[in-house]
Amino acid sequence: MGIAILFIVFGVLLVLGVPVAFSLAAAALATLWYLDLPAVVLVQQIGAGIGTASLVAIPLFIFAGEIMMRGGISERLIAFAASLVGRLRGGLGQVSILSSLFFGGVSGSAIADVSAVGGTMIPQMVKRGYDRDFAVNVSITAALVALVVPPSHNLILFSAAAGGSISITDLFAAGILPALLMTVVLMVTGYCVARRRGYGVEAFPGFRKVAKLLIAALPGLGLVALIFIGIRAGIFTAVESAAIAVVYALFVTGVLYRNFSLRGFLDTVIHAAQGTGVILFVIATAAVFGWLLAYLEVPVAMVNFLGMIAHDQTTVLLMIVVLLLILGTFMDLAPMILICTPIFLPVVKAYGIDPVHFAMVLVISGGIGLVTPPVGSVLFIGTAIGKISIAESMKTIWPFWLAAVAGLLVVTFFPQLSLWLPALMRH
Amino acid sequence: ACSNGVSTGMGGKDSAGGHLLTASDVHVANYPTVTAVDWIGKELERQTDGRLRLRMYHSGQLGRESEAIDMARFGAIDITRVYSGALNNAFPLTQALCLPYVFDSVAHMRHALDGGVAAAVLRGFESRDLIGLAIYDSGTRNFYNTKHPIVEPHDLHGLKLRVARSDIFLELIRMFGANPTPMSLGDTFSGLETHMIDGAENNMLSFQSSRHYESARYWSETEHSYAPDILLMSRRNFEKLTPSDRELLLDLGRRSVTVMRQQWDATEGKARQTVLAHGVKANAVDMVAFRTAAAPLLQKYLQQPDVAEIYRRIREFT
Amino acid sequence: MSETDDRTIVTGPQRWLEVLARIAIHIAAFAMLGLVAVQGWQVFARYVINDSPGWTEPLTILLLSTAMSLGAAAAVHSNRHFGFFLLAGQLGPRLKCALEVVVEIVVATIGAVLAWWGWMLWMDGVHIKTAGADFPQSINYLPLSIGGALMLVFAINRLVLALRPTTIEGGH
Ligand code: NA
Ligand code: NA
Repeated sequence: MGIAILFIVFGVLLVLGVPVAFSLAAAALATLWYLDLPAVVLVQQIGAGIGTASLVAIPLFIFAGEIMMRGGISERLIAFAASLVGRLRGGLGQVSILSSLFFGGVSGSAIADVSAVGGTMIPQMVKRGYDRDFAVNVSITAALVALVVPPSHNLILFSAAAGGSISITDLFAAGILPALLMTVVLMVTGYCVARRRGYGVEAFPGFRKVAKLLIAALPGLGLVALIFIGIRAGIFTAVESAAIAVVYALFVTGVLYRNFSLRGFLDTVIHAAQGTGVILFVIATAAVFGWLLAYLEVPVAMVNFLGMIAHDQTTVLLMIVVLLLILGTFMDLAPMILICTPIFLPVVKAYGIDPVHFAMVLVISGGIGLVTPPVGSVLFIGTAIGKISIAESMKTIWPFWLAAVAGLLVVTFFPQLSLWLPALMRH
Repeated sequence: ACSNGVSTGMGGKDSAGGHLLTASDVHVANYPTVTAVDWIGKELERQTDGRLRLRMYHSGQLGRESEAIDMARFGAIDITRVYSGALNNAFPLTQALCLPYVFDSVAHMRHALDGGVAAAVLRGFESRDLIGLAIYDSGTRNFYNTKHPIVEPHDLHGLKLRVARSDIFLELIRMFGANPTPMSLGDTFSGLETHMIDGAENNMLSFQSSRHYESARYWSETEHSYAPDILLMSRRNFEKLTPSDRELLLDLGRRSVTVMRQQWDATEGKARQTVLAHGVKANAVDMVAFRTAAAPLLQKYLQQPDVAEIYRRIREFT
Repeated sequence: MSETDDRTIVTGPQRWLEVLARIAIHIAAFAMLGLVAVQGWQVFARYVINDSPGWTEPLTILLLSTAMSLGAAAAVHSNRHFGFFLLAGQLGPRLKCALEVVVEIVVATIGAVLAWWGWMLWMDGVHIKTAGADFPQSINYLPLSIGGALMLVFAINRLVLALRPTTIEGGH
C-alpha cells in the first residue's frame, strides 16, 4: 500500500504539472505520513541526498560546460569536427555527432552537450536547408554519447547511489568504448537518413585547414587528456577533475582565446547556478524517494520477482533493460539513477553481473529516456532550440532511437566492451 | 499512548498485527554486527510469540551512519549500529573508547566494557533521545600502506593516508607527521592504485573486505585505536514499548555482545589468513614509541572530566 | 524546462521579490565559485604542500547545500524547475488556472516543510562541532531551511498572481 501511495501521488502530481522534484518530495511526504513516520525524514534525507562530497562534480561539470559553450571552446570543437566528417552524407548531422563525442569528453553531461552542440548546430543546419526535425533528432540522440564518454557526472552519481563503493576511475574507463560504439552507430544512422532525404555533403577544406582547425581545437581536446593523465597519475580524483575542468576551461577561454569578458563570466556563473540548483534539487528529492523504496523493501521484491521469471544473466539483463526503457519514458536520468541503482544493484550482483557493466547499461537506458517523451530534458531543450513541437520530433526520431537501442543491446550483452579497459588500466 | 493494535509509528504497518522494529547497518549481510542484531530479532520473535519482530536493513540500504543516528533520534528507524568515531562530537563519552592507546589488548577492552564501562557510556546516549543497547568491539585499528613497514611513528612521516572524518583520527595522524587525506571509501581503492594516497587505517575485517590489501602490502600493527561499534535504539520508540518488552530488549542487547564476539573472532581470523596468503606483510611496531607519540593527544582529550572518568575506569582493568 | 514567465507586473511587492530571487541566485553562484576554489585547494594542498586540511570535505557539502537550496528557490520564482507541462496546454483558462493553484500549493507545502524542519534540524545540532571543521554539525540544514522559506514565499506569490483576474487573456 505504501508503494502504491508513493507511485500514484508521484504520477498524479507529475501529470498535473507539478515539477519533478516537488512531485518526488510530495509523494515521499504523503507516504511518510501514511507509514506514521516523522515528516522530518523528508528534510533529513534531502540533506543526506546532497551530503556526499562526490556530488560536487555535478555543479562543476555544468559550470565547465557553460564556460566552454560561451567562451568559444565548443565552437572550435565543432569547427574541427566539421572538417573531419563534413564530407559524409548529411555532413552537418555527422558533425553534430562527432562534436558530442568531443564536447561530452569535457562537459560530463548530456544537458550541457545538447545546449552547447545542439545550440550551435541546430540553427546552422536549419540555415543550410536541413529539415528541423532531422537537425533536432540527430543532435539530441548524439547527446547520449556525452553521457558515457568520460568524464561523466552521471557515472559519479551512480557511484554515490551505490554507496560510494564503486571506483569512479573504473567507471570512467568503462565508458570509453560504449561511447565510441554509440558514435559510430549514430553516424551510420545519420548517413542512411541523410541519403534518403537527399542531403548533401560539405566541401572538404583541405588538409592545411584541417590542421589549423585541429590546432585551434587542441586546447579543448587537451582537457580530455589532462583529466585522464591527472587521474591515472594520482594527482587528482575523478571528482576533483571537475574543478580542474572549470579552471582549465577558464584558462583556455580567458587567456588563450581571450574571448571572455568579466561580464560574460558573471553571466555564465549565474546561468550555471540556475541549472545547478534545479538539478541538485531533483537529485536530493530523488534520494528521499529512494530511501522510501528501500524502506518498503522494493529492492527485495524486485529480486524475488525477477528470480521467479528469469534464471540466467541474459534474461535478467534483458528484463532490466526493458524496465529501464519504460521507466525512462517518464523519468529524468538523475532521479532514475538514484532510484534504480539501489533497486537493481542487488539483483545484478545476485546474478554475477559486474556493477561497472551494469552502470553502462543503466546510464545508456536512462539516457535514451532523456529523448523519449513524455519527460526528457534533452528532448525538451533540443526541441526548444529547434523551435519544433515534441510531436514533430517524435514522428521522425525512430531510426535514431532504434540505433541507440541497438547500441544499448550490444553494450548490454557484451560486457567485455565495458570491462576490458578498466581491467587493462588497472595493470 | 502505547496502544497494542495497529503500529504507532514503529517501523510501519505490520500485516501480522504485531510490532515491527526496523534496524539498520551499513555492513553487509553476514558481517558480525548484522548477525548479532539478526540474533536479537530471532530471540525477540521467539520470546514474544511473534508479537515483536525485527527487520534488518543491512548494507546501508537506509543510508549512512551519520544520518541513521538522527533518524533513530527522531523515531524514523528503531535500532541502528554505528561506529563510535561517528558519535564522538555529539556524545563526548564515546571519545574515551576511540582515543589512542586507551586499551592494552582486546582482552582488556572486553574486560573493561563488561565491567561497567559499557553501561556507563551507554547511559550517556539518553541525553539526546537514544538508548544504548550494546557495545560491539571490532578489533584494533592499524595502519596499512603501499610503501614500507611502519615500525616507528617516524615511518609515517609524509605518507598520504585516507582517514575517516573524525577529529581524533585527523589529529592523531597529523601528530604522527602523516598527511590525512579526505576521500570516500569507494575512491580509496583506486587512490591506492594510482598512488594518490599511500595508505589508510582500519581493522582487519575492513582491510580484507575492501580489497585494499591488493595494493597496500604492508600491514603494521600499530593498534592505535579500538573504536568499537555501538548499537543504539530510538528513545522515542523505546518508550512506546511495554516495561517488560523494554527489559527484554535491553537484556537481548547485552547478550548479543557474546554472539557478536564469537562471530568477530572467527571472521577476523579468516580475514587475516586471506590477507597473509595474498602476500601481505604484517609487522609488529615499537609500541612504546607509538604510545609516547600519541600521549599529548590523549592528555588533551582527558581534560574533559567526564571523558577522564571513563578513562580512569578503563585503566582500572589493566 | 518551461516557458519563461511573461507576467512582468512591477508593482511594489513584485519588485522586492525580484530582488530577493536575485540575491538568492547570486549566493548560489558564489557558492559554486567556492566549490571550485575548495576542490582546487584540496588538490593543491595534497599534491604541492602535502598537508590536506580537514575542512575541505565539510565545507564542500555546505557549499553544495547552499548552491542547491538557493538555486532551487530562485528557480521557483522564475519557474525553471523540470516538469511535464503537457496537460496544462490542453486545458481551457479556468482549468489551467486551477491546475496552477494545485502546483503552487504543492510547491509551497514542500517549501514550508523544508523551512520548518530544516530550521529544527539546524537548531538541534547547532552546539555540536562537526568533525574536521570549526562549524556546527547541522549547518547544512541552514541553507535548506532558508531555501525552503524562499520557496514558500515565491510559491505563494505565484499563487496570488494565478488567482488574480487578468484583464488580457490570450493576446498571442
Ligand atoms: Na562525458
Ligand atoms: Na523520457
